[in-house]
Amino acid sequence: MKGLPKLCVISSDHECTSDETYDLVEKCRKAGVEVKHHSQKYLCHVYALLPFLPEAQAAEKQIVDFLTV
Amino acid sequence: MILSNSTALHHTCSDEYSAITTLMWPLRLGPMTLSRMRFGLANIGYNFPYDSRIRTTKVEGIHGEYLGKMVSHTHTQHTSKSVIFWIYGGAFLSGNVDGNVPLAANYADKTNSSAFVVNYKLCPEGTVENAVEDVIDAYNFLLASDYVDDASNVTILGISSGGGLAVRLMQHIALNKEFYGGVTVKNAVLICPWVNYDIENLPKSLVENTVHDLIVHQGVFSYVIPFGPRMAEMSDGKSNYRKVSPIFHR
Repeated sequence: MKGLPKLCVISSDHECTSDETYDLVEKCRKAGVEVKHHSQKYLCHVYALLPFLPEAQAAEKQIVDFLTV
Repeated sequence: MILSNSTALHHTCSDEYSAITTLMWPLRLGPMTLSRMRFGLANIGYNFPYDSRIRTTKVEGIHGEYLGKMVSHTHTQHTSKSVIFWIYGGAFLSGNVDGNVPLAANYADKTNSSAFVVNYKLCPEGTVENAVEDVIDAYNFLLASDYVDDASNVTILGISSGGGLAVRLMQHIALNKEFYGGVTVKNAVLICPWVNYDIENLPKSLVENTVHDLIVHQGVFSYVIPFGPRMAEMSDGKSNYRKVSPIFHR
């Protein structure tokens, strides 16, 4: 993972790719990659793409803030 | 409301999430097919309001291959050539450019950027390695084009399996620093990235959370997993789960 750019990772603790997302974040951080990891509880896979959910709107704000800072 | 709140995983979830949990729960009872998966993912953009300001340009490679679409808003006054390199998801079996255009346009609009939605081969017609090649080819073409000044203006955004492809692309860039003049992309966003395709040693969450996951429920899971050997096929025709999985790359 060395040499990867700054990452913003959006996930949920209760969705199917939760374990591997945490593995990825840990490996990246160990390799010196700057990672912002936003993980919500109780939500489904790719919840951030369901724009009518307040939880998705919060995720969108996290992504836009990351990209525009 | 009482029914909705009892079907979501936790009472702290929003009413909207509880409601969609109730509405979508019966979908797991129906048989899953490739057509259903592809239809669903091709229409993911309908979750976003119709926006007549979205402008798209089809981008073709030097041999006329379909690399993807540039997406922007007609009203956006671009002060930079920032581009979001958008890699859709769909478990490598589904997902397409047009379905993702409204999503990409939404983020492009909110970040004063353009977006490039990359087209790549799906399984079982192709393999994960084919998809990685398509994504790398499209990235190289974009860098050589007038759409971006240089890689430092590029954000990579990957969704689910697209997140895995995003990591593979970034690993490729990092390993080939000299080819890319030592310049990597500005940053990357990974939305619920799927990065481990080792079906012989599945992560616990991939098995257990399908019980309540709305999107990757038991029906999707049991349909996708048998495609694992084809997804992981290498050029010699043999499957190598760890080699295709970005989580096992250094």
